[in-house]
Amino acid sequence: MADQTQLENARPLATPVNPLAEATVALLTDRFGASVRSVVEHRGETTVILAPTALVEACQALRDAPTLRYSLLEDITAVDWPEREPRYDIVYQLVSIETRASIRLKVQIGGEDDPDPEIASVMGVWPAANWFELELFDLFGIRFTGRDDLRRLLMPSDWAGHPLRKDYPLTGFALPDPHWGGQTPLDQPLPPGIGQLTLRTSDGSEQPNLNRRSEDDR
Amino acid sequence: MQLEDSARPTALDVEESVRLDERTRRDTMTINMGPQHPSTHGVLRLILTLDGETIIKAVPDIGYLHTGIEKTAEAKSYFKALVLTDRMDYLAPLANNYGYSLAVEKLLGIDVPARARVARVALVELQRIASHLVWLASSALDLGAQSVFLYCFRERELILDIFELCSGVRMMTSYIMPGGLQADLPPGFDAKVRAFLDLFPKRLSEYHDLLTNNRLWIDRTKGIAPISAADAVAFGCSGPTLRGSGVVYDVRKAFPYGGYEQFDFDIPVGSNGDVYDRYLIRMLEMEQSLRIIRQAMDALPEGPWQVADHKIVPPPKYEVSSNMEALIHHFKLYTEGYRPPAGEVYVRTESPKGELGFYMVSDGSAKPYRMHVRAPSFANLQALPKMVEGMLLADVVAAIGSIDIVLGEVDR
Repeated sequence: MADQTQLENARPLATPVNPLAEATVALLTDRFGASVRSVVEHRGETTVILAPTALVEACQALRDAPTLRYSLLEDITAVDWPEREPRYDIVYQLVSIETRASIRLKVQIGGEDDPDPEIASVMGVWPAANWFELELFDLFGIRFTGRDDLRRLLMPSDWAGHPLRKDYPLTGFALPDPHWGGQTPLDQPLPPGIGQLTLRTSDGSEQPNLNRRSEDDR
Repeated sequence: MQLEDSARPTALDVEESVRLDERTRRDTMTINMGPQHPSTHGVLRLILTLDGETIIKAVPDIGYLHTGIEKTAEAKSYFKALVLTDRMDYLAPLANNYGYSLAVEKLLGIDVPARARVARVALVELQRIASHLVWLASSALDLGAQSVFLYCFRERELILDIFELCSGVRMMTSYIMPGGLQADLPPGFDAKVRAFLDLFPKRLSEYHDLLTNNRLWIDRTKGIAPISAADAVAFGCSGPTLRGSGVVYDVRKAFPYGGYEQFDFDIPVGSNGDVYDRYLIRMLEMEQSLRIIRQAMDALPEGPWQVADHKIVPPPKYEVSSNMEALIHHFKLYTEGYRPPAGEVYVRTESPKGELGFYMVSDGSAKPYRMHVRAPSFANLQALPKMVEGMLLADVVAAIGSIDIVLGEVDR
């Protein structure tokens, strides 16, 4: 049977056409021309990179445009590029239930002198943004302004650090004394250095356990 | 207008009502539901503020099953990260495999052979029925219909037998992989699926007999936990939760993928957005899935079930011991993996729970730079407070059952 696998070579994937992406880009460049940083096309998907200041207005415009009507916010996520300035991509996936248009918006924020970047919340445009933004605050340390109740969603509320950042270790933890399950009691301040240390990083190299406190500290 | 004496409220009545009012205000109670409550379907915790039995405020607290799947995937090759996807929505592992495989294939820019494409659709639709059966079993059990539970698991076992025949595993199959299927469909697959297709419509009508016109079931579900179409869209709901409110949106029709445009099926849509509509939609979806599976089995072509490129799929085992090139491919794939060109893709699929999206970023290396999963249960659960506020405490159980959450997927 195995020789059957040789019959057909990997065919290139047909890229779907997205006729309304062009109209979306036209609307954004028309209304927010100076804020549209670039437009990227990859595998039939269009990404518009926007200036962070124009984000909420652009989202509002896309939701209300009668020919596009991006009514459904599918997803918000982030990508960490520690070597790059600005450091974080915040990625918004929009789709229209009525017109079948789809687009990806991206804003780039953060960097060396802005370790905890801020971006305006889009909860006023789509309430769906609520948990997606909380998740990003929890796992990336992105602060969303213009909304209340910014709290950790997935990690325990007293957790230190933001796990999906690239500089957060994959395994290994030095636990403070006394400890249970990596958490410290809520009424005590977190010991310095919790969550920053590692026994093994994601590329497999070992690091010294910087978090181990010396005898003098005890 | 003069009130008749009997209708005029007496002083005592007014006093009494004020006192009652004050007492109810004072008696607002905050209780904890979960995370180990059996009807929260896993480890969901709800903090409920109650006025008597009426919910004033509901705050879901999630994260008890957070396993860092997105972080772990960044340290695995594309080939190995597949097994992580099984463990997200553990009631529909093949649907997760499918979404992940489509995303990786899009990154690579390849398409799979026709046999794999059609077989995948059949398998994913079988998975949809299996997932809906667990939903039906558990949500009916939550509302006290215990016998439904046993019947549904009996039929689900038949589907799991089919998966076991294909992959050797009942649940965490990883059978759909980037580049095709792990192995060819086994002999006997066709007969087993067709036997199921013959049997299941009868069983489905038995479920309808048990519940659809059942007075107790209707009382517990009709008009309970409604959400309007506008709210469902605004809160990012998808799948049966969205369609229950009357919104015609199914990714299989709106953005066809993997050959779904060749199949003939309908999208059931509700009108009231209550628990009963969501129930009925899933029941009707199972019928539509049967239609798709039947068409897929009839159209299933012979031929390869994987791409021929052994940089992406492992070469056959017997070749590894006799063919040097196969050995090199085998070694390269298992130690390093393949390197998709740099870029980003978002692939949306219709999983049994709703829109399952995979956002994958490649930096040109052998490991995903970022894998983000847009879990349908995550977005659907956000709308739960909107559904249950103003309802009774007992209705929370019905509402949770009706949005069909899987916490493995919510917390990832």
